[in-house]
Amino acid sequence: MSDSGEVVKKKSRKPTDGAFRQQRLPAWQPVLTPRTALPTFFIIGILFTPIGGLLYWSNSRVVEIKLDYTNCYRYTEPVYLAKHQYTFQLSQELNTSSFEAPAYHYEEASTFLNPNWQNPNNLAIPQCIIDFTVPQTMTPPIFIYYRLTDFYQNHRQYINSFDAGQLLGDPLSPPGGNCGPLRTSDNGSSIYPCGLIANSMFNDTRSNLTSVNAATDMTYGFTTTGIAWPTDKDKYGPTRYTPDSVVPPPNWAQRYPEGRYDAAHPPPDLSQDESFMVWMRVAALPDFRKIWGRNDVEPLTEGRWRMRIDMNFNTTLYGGQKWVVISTSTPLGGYNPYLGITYMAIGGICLLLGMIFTIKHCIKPRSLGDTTYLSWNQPGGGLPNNKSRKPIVKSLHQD
Amino acid sequence: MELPSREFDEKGKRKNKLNVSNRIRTAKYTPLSFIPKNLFEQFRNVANLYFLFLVILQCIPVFGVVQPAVSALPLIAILVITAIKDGIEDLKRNQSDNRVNNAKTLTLNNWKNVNMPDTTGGFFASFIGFFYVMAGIDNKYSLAYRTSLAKRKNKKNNNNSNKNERPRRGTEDKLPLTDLNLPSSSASSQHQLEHPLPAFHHRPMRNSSKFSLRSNTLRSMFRPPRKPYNPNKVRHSVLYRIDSTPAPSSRRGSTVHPALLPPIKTPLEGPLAANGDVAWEPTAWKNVNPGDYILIRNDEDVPADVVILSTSDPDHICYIETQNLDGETNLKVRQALVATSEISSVKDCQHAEFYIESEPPHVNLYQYSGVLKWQIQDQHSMNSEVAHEKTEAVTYNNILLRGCVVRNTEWVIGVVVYTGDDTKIMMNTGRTPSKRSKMAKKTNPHAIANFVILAIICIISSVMDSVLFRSEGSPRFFDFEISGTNGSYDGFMTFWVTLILYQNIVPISLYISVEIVKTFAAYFIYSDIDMYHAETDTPCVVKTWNISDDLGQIEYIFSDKTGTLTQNVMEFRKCTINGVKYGLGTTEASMGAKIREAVEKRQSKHQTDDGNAFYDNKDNDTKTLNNNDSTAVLDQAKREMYQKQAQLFTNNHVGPNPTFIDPKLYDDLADSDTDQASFVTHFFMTLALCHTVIAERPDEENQDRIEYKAQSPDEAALVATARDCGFVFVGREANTVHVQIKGEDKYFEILNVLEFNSTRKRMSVILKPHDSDKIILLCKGADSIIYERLCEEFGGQTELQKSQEELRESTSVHLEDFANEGLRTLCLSYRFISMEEYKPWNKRYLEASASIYNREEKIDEACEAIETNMLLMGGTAIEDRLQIGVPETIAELAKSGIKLWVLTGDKTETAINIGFACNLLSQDMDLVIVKGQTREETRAQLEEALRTTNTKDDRKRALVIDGTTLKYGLEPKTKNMVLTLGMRCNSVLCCRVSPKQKAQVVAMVKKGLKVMTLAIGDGANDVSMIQEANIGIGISGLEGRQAVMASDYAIAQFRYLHKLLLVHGRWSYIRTSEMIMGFFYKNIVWTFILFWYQIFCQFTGSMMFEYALVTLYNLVFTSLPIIFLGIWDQDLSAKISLMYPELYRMGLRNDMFKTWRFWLTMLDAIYQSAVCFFFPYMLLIGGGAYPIGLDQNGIYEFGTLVSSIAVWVANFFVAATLYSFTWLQVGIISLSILVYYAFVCIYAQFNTFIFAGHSRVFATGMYWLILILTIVACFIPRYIAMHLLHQYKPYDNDIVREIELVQKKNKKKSADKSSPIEDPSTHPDGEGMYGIKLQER
Repeated sequence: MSDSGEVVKKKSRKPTDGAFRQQRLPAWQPVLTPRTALPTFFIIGILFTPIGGLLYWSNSRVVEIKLDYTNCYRYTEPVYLAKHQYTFQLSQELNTSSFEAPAYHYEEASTFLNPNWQNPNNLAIPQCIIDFTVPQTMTPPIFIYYRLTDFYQNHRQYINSFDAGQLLGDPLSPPGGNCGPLRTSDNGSSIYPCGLIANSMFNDTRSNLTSVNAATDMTYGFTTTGIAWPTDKDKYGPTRYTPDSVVPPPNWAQRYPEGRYDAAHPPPDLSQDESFMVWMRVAALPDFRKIWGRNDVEPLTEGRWRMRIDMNFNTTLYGGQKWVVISTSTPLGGYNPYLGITYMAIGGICLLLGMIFTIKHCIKPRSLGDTTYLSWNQPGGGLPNNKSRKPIVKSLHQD
Repeated sequence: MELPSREFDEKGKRKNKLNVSNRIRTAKYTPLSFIPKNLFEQFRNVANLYFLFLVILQCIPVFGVVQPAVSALPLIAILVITAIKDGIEDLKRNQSDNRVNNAKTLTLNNWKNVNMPDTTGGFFASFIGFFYVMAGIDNKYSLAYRTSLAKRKNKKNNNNSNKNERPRRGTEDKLPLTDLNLPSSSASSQHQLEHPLPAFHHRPMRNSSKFSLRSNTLRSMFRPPRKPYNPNKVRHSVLYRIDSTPAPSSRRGSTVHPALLPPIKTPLEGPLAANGDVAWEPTAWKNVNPGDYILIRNDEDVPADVVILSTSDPDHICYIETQNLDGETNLKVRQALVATSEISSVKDCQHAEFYIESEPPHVNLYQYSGVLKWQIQDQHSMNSEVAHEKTEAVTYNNILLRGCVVRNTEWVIGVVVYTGDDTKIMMNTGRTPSKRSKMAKKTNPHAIANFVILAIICIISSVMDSVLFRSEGSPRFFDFEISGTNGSYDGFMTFWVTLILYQNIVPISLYISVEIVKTFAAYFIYSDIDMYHAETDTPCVVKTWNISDDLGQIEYIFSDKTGTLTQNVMEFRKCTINGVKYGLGTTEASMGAKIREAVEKRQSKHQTDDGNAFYDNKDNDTKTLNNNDSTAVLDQAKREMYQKQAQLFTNNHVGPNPTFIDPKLYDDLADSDTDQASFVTHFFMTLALCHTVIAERPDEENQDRIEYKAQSPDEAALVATARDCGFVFVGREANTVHVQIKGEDKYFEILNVLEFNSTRKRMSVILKPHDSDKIILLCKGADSIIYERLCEEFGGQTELQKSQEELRESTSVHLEDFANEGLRTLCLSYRFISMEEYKPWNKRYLEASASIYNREEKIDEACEAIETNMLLMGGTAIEDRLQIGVPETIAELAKSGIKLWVLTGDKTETAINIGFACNLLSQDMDLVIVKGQTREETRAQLEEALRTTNTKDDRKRALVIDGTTLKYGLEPKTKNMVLTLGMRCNSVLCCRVSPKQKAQVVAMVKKGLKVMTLAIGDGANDVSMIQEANIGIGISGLEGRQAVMASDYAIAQFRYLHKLLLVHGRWSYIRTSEMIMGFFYKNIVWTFILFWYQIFCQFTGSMMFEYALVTLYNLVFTSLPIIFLGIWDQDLSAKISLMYPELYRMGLRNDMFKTWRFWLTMLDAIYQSAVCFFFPYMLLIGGGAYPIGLDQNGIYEFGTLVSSIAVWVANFFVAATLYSFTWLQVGIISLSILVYYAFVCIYAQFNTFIFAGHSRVFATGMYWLILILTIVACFIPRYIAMHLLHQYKPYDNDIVREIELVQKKNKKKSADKSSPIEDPSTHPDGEGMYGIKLQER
C-alpha cells in the first residue's frame, strides 16, 4: 500500500559491491608445480637432517645408569647383574665392559629405610643392596628414578579411583564417590587415602648412595623434596580425619598396628609426601619411570657406589620389572635418542624423495599449463560416461 | 436475521464452524511450542539421536565418565545453534505475520455479526486462551483471550474514542443519502451487543446470554420507505452451503505485505461517515471475521476474501492489482454485485438483509461461485408473510482476494467470505517439496562407513579387552577385581565405553556445518552483483538454501522459451490483411532461419518438413532489408510512415516507440475507394475493439498519451499498435467503447465479452456500433482455432466464398512465414449476427454465466455456439525478442558440457528458428527431426532416427521433437528410445509441449539417466517442470510469480544462469566436497589416536585426552577452518571460471567427491593418526623430556601433547587443501590453533586434580621439536600424492591454474621488458564476460 501523501522511496535490492560479498578478496593462490614441490622436499631434508644430528649429539651427552633389581630378593649373596639387566649411557667414549658390573643381594632388615615409617608388626623387610660403578663423574642436576614395566597405571577404572577432596584434607562425603572398590573398609570406616592409585603406591624405599672401596667414606644423598610439580602440591592438604576414624589402604596396612591408624601411628601427611604426589600422577604407558629423588648440587663422582632398597613392592606378582635409573639432564631433558634419529630419518626420506621426483621430472617433464591434459581436449571430451547410459536400447542394436 | 435451523446440530451449536480467524500464521513455532517442536524436529535427524544416546550412555556411572555434563556440551551446542537458526528464521516469519495480522482495515463496528460465536468466556476461558494463543492454536479459548484483551483496551480508550468520534458524527449532515428515520441512538455507547435499532423493528431482539448468542438475531430491520436502495429487505448473513472442509494444517508464507493504514487526514465523509454508533473503524486484520462489512479504500490491501457489494465507481466496478497473487502488475476489473451495488452508506449496510451462499474454500484462484440471496416482500402488504427469494450469482468477478490491492477506485464496500487460512492466497501458498542435495545423499554412505569403522574398532577393543583380561599384568593384582568378574562381561562393558571414547568418529557437527556453508553460499549467490538486474531491481533470490552444490553438477537444463529465453516484451511486427503482408524489419529468428536454410541445404537427408517450399519465395522486402543496414532503413521507413499518416488524419495518440513499421499501409489506406482500404480499416478497428485492455493516462499533463494494461502483453501490443496506426482505443465506460478511428470518435456498445482462456485459445467481443443496428462479433485467436470456426457454408455467395478461400490460403502462407521468423501469430475474424440469432443466444449465455455448477463449461459451450461461421480478416505477428545474452549463455553452457533441452509451445519451425537464433542449434549440427502423428509412426520414426544416429563419429546432433510425437514417445515402450536419442544429441528441442509433458520429460531424463537436472521457466505452465527437476529456477519476469514461488532460485534473466552454474555452482561443488572430506578426515585422525592408545592400556578404554578436549575438538578447535574453507575457498576466480566453461565438467564427472577419494582420505587419516600418536610416543620411552627432571609422562600430559598435535594437523589439513589463502582463511586457521592453546592454558589454571598446570608441556623444547616433526611426517604422503597427481594426472582446474600462473609470469616478464607482446591466448582483463558481450550486442 503506497502512501498517497509521501513518496516512499523504495529501498533498492541491489546487492552491495565489495571484495568480500563479491568473493574477490585478494588471495594468495599457490600452485603446486614441480618448481615449488621439489624444493620443498629438499628444504625439509636440508633442515631436518642437521637438526636430527644436533639433537642426537646433544642427547648423547646425557649420563644415564639403569639397573634392574626385580630379582634381588632371590639372592642372599651378591651376584653380578646380567648384561640385559643394566645399561650405561655415557657422554664419553668409554669401554663399558671394562667396568665391574653391578651386583646385588638382599638382607633382611627390621626397620624401614623410610624414617617416617615404623614397623609395629615387626615385619622382616627384605633389603636389596646394589653395588654399581659410576663410570664417569656425573654433573648435577642428577635425578634418580624408579622404572616399572607392565604396570598399567592407565587402566580405565584405576585412573579414576581417587578422591580429590579427600586428598585435599576433606572427609569423604558419605554416598557415592570416586574411590571405586577401595572407599571404605569392611567395617565401614573410610580408607585414607582411598582408591586404587593410592593403595598400589610404589613403596620401595631407597637409601642414599655410599661409596664402596673408596678411600674415604663418601655418601651421596638424593632429596625427595622438589620432585613433585608445584601445581601438584596444591592438590594435597593435611587430613582432618582423626586417626582412628580412618583405616589405611590394604597394601599399607602392614605398616600399621592391626592394620589401623592410631595416635602413635597417625595417617601420613600427604601434603608433605612428594613421592606420593608423584605416584598419583598416573603414567601414560605401562612402562614408565617416576622420579625418586634428586640432587641439584653435588656431582656424582666416578667410582663404585652402594644403594639399599627396601623391597616392599612386589612386581613379580604381575610379571613386571622394577629398575632404578640415575640420570643427568640436558636442556632437552633426559636421554632420548629417538627424536634425533627420527629427524634425521625424515630429513633423509625427504631428500631421497626430492631426488627421485627430480629425476622423474627430468625424464618425463610436463610443461606448465599443458592444455593437452585438459579433460575436454581428450577423446570423449571429458563428459561423464554413466553406466546407465549404454544399455538403454538393446533391442535396437540388433537390427 | 436468524440463522436457519439446519445450520445447527442438536446441541444448538453451529454445524459449520465459521470462526476461522483471519489471523494467519506462517511461522512454524510459537513461544510455547518452540522448544518441544524444535527439539522434535531436530531429533528426527538420526545423527542427533545417536548423540543423544551417547550422552545418556555417558551419564551411566559404570562407564566411568567423570563429567557427564561436559559430554552433553557438543550436542547442546549443536541443538542450540540449530535452534537459534530456526528461531531467527521463524522470528522473521512471526514478525511479518504480526505485521500482517495487526495491519488495519476499516470494518463496520458496533454491529453484531451472526456468524461469529460468542467469545466472552469469562476469565477462565481467556486464561486458557492465553496458552492457546502462545501455542498458536486458534480456537474459542484463544478467541476469548483476544476478545478480553481487546475489551480491556477498549475500556482504557473509552473516553478518548468518544471524543475522537464526535467530529466524525458531525459530518452526518453531509451524508449523500439522508436517511430520515434514523433514531438518534448514539447515546448508547460501546457495548458490543447493543445495536442502534430503529424504532420500528419488528422482530424482538434477543439479547444475548452467553450461550445462546449463536442463534442471536443479527439485525432485523425494515427498510425505510424511501430508501433508494433497491432489493427489498435484504438481510445479511453469510452461510456456507456445504460443509467447509477443514483446512490443511501446514501452511507457508503468505506474500501479503500490508502497509500501515495511512493516517486519516480529513474526517470521513460520504459513505464512510459514521451513522450513529455504527461507523467504519480501523480494525486489525486478525479481527476481521467472515460476514463483516469491510470498507477498502484506494491503494489499500484487501485483508480477506471479500464479496464486493458496491464501489465508488458509477459503473460499480473497481480495479485491482494482483501482483501478490499472480505477479501480474496490470490492473484487473472487478464488478460489484448488481443487487447490492447501491449500497453506499453505513446505514445501507445496517439495513441490508441478505445472505450469501458460498462454496467451501478451495485452492483455485480463478474460480469462485456463490449466490447472494435475499427476500422480497410485497411492499404494500407488509404484514403478509408472502415472500419470495431473489438470487444473484456471485462469481470470480465479484470478489476481491486477500493480497490484492485496490487501485483507481475511491472505495469498495464488501462482505468478508473467507478469512485467514481459508483465503485463496493462503490455500495457494503450498510448500514446495523439500530437497536434499545429491552430495548430502552421497554423504550418507560415508557416514555409514564411519559407523562401520566405529563398530569395528569398538569390537576390536572389547574383544582385545576380554582376551587380555586374564593376561599377566598389574590390574589383576592391584585393581581388586574392578573390571568385573569375567572377561566377557568386561569386554561387554568395554564395548560401550569405547563407543563413548570414539564418539567423535561420527561427525556431529558435519550436518550443521554443511548447513552453515550452504547458507553462506546462498548469501553469496544472493549478493552477487552480476546476477542483479537493475531494471527490475531483482537480485538472484535463493529459496532453497541447501542445494547450492547441486548447481555444480547439473547435466541437463530444461528451459521454457517464452519469457525465459525471450523477453516476453511483445512487439507488433507484421500483419497480413486480406492477403497482403505488412510490416518491415527482420527478426533474430529470421536470421536464425537463414542459418537453418544453409544447414538444410547441406544435409539433404533431413528434408522432412514440407514447409521448405516457402522459403525459396520469400518476400522481397524482407530480403532486401536484411541485406541493408536495417536500423537506418527502418528509421527512414518509420518517418515516411508517420508523414503519410499525418497526411491522412491527425493522430495525437501515437506511442513513444512504435514497433510496426510499413509506409505501404497508408498508401493502401489513402485509396479509400479500394477494398483494401476498408479491409485495413476493419482490421485495425478489430484490434482496437476486440480486447479486454484497460486504457490509462499515466501522464496528467499530456492527456493524449494513452497506455494500455492488459492481462497478456500480446493483447496490449495489439491495441497499442492499433493506436499508433490511428485506431485509438480511448476508453471504456460501462458498456460503451470509445474509439477514435482515423481521427474520428466512434462509440460501440459492447454486448458481450467472451473471454480468453487457455482451452478456448481465443477471445471475442460482440458489439453494436452506436450508429448502426448491426451486431458484430469480432474474434481473435490462434490460427488453428480460428480456421476451425470459419464459415464453410456461404449460401451461394460464390464471390465471397472465392475471396475467402483465397484469403485463407494466402493468410495461412503468411502466418507460416511469420511463424518461421519466430513471430507469434494470431488470426482475426468477424461475423455479423442477426438479432434473431443474438437474443436467444444471449439468454443462454447469461444463464450460463449465472449458473453455479459447471459455469465454465456452460459458458464455453455457449461461446462455441456463437463463434462459428466467421469470416477471416487476417493475421497479426508479434515478436518476442530474445533476452539479452541468451545466445552467448547457451553457447557457454553448451561448452561446459551441460545439455540444454528447450521445451516450448511453439510450432516446430518457429522453434527451430529460435533455436538457431539463440545458439541452441548450430550450423555443424545434424538436425534429427521426429514428427509422428500416430503411435506407430512415432515408433518408426524413432527407430529410424536411432539407426541414423547410431554411429561412432563425434558429430553434433540436435533432436527436434514434436508435442504429439512426444505424447507417444513418452509412453513406457518408447520412452527409452526417446531417451537414447536425446542422449546422443547435444541439444533437444521439444515443440508444442504441454505443461504436463514438460514435467514428464524432466522426470524421464532425471530418473532414466539418474542425472542432475535443472528446469528454468517463468510461467505457471513451468511450475510442474520446476518442481520435478532437481533444481528449479524461476525467472522473476513479467509473467506472474507462480514459477518463482515454486522455484529454488529466482533469477531475473536467463543469462544469469551462466554465472549461477559455472561460478557459484562449481565453487559450491568443490567447496562442499572438500569440506565433507575434511570433516571425515579430522574425526578419523582424532579417533584413531585414541584407538592407538588402547594398545598401551590393555584396551580398557582409557581416554588419554582430557575429557573437555574430546568434547570440544569437533566443535571449537577444528570446525571453523574447515567451515570457512567450505565458505570461501576458490580454486579459480569467477572471471577465470567463466573463461573456461569446460571446468564445469569436473562437477559433471564428480571428480572431487569420488568414493576412492573418500577412502584414500580415510587411509591418509589413519596414517596421520598413527604418526600423531607414535611420534610423541617416542618421547615417553626414553628419559624425561623436562630439563629439570620432573615427570612429564602422565597420561593427561601425554594426551595434551598429542591432542595439540592433532589440532595442528587437523587445521593444517585445511591449509593443505585450500586453493586460495585470504587473510580470512589464514586468520581463522591461526585462530583455531590459538584457541586450543588458550583453552588448555586457561583450563590448566583451574587446578582440577587430573589437569593442573598441563600447559607447561608447551614450554619444553622437546614439545616444539616433536610438533614440527610430527606435522611434517603427517603430511609427507599427502604431499607426495598431491605432487604426483598434480604432475601426472592433473585435474582440469590444476591445469588452468597453471595456465594462469604462466600468463601472470609472462605478463610480468613483458612488463619488465616493457615490450607488450600480445599473447593470443591472453584473456581480456577487468571486464566481466557480460560486460564484453553486452557491448558486442
